[in-house]
Amino acid sequence: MTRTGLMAMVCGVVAAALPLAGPASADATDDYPIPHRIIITTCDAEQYLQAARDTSPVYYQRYMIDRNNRPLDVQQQAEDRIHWFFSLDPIARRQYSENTATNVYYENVATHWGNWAKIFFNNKGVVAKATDVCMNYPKGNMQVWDFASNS
Amino acid sequence: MARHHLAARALAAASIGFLVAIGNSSIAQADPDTDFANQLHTYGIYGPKDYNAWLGKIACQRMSNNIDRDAYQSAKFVATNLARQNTTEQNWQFLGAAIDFYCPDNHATLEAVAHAGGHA
Repeated sequence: MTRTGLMAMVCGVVAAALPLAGPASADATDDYPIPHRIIITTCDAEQYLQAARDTSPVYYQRYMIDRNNRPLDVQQQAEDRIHWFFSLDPIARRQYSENTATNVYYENVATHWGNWAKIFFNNKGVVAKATDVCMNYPKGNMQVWDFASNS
Repeated sequence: MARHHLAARALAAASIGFLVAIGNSSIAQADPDTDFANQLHTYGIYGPKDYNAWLGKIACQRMSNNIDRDAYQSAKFVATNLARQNTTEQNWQFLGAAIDFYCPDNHATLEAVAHAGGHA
């Protein structure tokens, strides 16, 4: 192959690849930042939390210890916010996922406590194990938020 | 000469003091999590030491808080959170060791199952 031919080929490859690069996308996906199983689960927050307590106990402990180190009003905000999230249908949850992925300031609770929903959103393995069995727990069991009696 | 003797005695006394200090440091107790891990190894249960220790302590807390109301529920909790290839016997051994190391007050919970002659 001549040098000219080689150059033409390289230019062609580069030209073909450039349009694919594009700007990085910050959109949400079906699993990020909120796992799909949390979006479609019919469990409530307390059912999910009870299941996570039993299926990912160390992760649950870390979350609850972190929570206990927050001011009471922030703890309450996080609890209210996750109740609000679980009250949404899957389409609205997916939209919320999109909103939080594209706007870092969208979630106000996160400005007070960055990991406020860690046990609910951040780990697909934890979510998978808990959503597999959460329907077997009582709904609305608020006692699960009391770490001292639930560790 | 006398000064030399005094210096030698002082040096000897300092050396003894130093050796005693070293001796005392060597008899410091191993931490219970290490002892727990070593006990688990005799059962063929391995895995991260910190995780196993934390799981053992959580199993104890759950018994104290009545989340697990009997030893069967505790054993189920342990089995759920240990390696799947563990045998039922190993899960019970883990629970027994956790009680020994972290909450001996809960021995009665295990004994109740033993007296009932039950199996998980």
